[in-house]
Amino acid sequence: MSGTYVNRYSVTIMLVIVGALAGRKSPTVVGWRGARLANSATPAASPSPAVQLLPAGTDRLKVTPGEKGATYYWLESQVQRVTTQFPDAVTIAERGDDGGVRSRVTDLAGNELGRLHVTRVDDTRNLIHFISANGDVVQAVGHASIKPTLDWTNQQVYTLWRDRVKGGMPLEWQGALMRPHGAAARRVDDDIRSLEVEWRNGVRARAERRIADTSQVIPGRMLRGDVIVSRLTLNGTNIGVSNWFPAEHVLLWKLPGITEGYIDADTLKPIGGWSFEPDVFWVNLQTIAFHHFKTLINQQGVVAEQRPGLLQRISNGIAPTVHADEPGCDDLHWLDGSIFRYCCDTHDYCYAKSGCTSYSWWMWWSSWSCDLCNMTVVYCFMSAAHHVFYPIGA
Amino acid sequence: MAMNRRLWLDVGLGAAAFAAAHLVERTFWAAAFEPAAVHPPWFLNSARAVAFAAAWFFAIGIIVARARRADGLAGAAAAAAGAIAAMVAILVAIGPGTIFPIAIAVGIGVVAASLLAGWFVGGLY
Repeated sequence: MSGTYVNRYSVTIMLVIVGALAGRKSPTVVGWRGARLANSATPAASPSPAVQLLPAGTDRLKVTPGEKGATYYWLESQVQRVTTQFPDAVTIAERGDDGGVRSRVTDLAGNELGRLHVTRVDDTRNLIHFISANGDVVQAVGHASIKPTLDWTNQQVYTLWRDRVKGGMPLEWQGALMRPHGAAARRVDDDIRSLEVEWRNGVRARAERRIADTSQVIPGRMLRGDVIVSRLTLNGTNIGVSNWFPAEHVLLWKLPGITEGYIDADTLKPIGGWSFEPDVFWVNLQTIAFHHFKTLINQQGVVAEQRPGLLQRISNGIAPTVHADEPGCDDLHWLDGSIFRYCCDTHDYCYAKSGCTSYSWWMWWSSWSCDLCNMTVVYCFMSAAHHVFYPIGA
Repeated sequence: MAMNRRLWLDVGLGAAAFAAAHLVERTFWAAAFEPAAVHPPWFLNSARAVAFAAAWFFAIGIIVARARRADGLAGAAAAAAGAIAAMVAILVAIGPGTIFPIAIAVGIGVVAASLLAGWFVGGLY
C-alpha cells in the first residue's frame, strides 16, 4: 500500500514533503566576481566516477535528514506568490517568467525598502542580486544546497534589509541565509507574524501565530504555548484549518469532508519520529497538500494511477503475490479517503523501513520491529475512529 | 444428526453466497463498483462493493430466517461462518496485503453484521 502515493502523501504526505534546513556551518558568501574566478578553475582530468548501483528490490531512497523532499519542491513550484508579514516589514515573493524569483520588502505602510532577484544560472547555481532603497547593491552566488523558494527569498530579502547590508560588506551563510560576517544568530522564522501562500486554482493558505492554552483541541490532552494556525481557502471560501504546536510537536488538521486527524512524535515513532522542524511555510504547504492529494484520492482512488501490465496480470493470475503492497489500505481501499489512511501509510513506511512482509503477521517471532509496526497499526485503527478534533481557528 | 446436516448446509449456503457475490464484483468491477479499476476486485476495496455485499448478505439473512424459523439464529450464524471462511480463502487467493488481519476483521464485521441484521428483520414477519 505504500510506494507511489505517499512519496506523494499522508504521513506519508508529510514525511516526504518534509523538511527543514538543518544546521549548516557558515561558509563565506562568494561574491559574483569571485564566483567567476572559481568557475574558471576547471578541475584537472579525473577518472570517470562510478555509478552507484542499488541492490535488487530497493524501490525507494530515504530523503536525507534535514533536507526537503521532491514532493515538497513540487508543491512549492506551484506556489504563485508568498506574502510574509514581519513585525516591522512585509515581503512579497513571486515567480518570474525566466525561472527566477523576486521579492520586495516594504515597510508596514507599503513603502519599498529593498528588492531581491534570484536568477537561475544552471541546475546548481543562482545569482542573487539585492538592492536597497538607498541604492546599496549586493551580488552573490547562491549556496549550492539551498533552493531559492519563494519563502526563502522573502526571508533573505528581509534579513538583508534588516541587517542593513551594503555592497562590499563581508557576508557568510548562517543556516540558509546570507548575513553579515559575525552577526548575532537569529531565527527569522520566529519573527514571522503571518505568511500567506497563493497556490494554483484559487487555493490559498494563510498561517499566523497564536497562543494556545486549551484541552479542547484534542480531547483530554492539554496543548500550550505557541501555535501556528493555517487556514485554507478555495476561491475565498474557508475549507479547512491545521494547527502546528511547536513545543508539543503535534500537527492536527481538519478539512471537513476531506480529511482530519493529528500526528505527534508518538504516532510517528514507528518511522523514526519527526525528522525535521516544521516551519510556518511548511505548515501552509502541508495544509494545501492535504487538500490537493486527498481530493485526488477521493476522485481517482490514487494520486498517480498505476495499472498492472498484461504480463503482470497474467503472472498475478498464476501466482498471486503475498507481498501485495499498494498505495492506500491494502484490501480495504474503500477506507483510503478516511482517517484510517494515515494508519495504513504509517504502517507501510514502518514495513518498508523494517523489511517486513505480510508473513510478518503470523511469523511474529521473526522480527520485533515488524511486530511493533503491526501493533501500532492495530492501535491506530482502533483509536482513529474515536478522534474528534477541534483545531484552533476551525 | 439432521440438525447438524442443516447447519452444514447453511455453512455451504454462506460460502456459496460469498463466492457468488465475489463473482458478481469481479464481473462488474469496472462497470459498477470502481470505474477507475485501480484496485483488484474485492468487496472491501470500494464503498459500492461494500454496500452491495452488505445488501446481499442482508438478503441472505432474511432467506435463512424465513427458511429456518425454529433455529434461525443458528442457521444465520452458520451461514456467516461459511461466508467468512470463503472470504478468507478468496483473500488468500487474490493475495493478502500488508494489513490482511485487519481486512479480515473488518470483513467479518461487514458480513456478520449484515447477515445477522437480515436474520433479525426476516424473523419479524
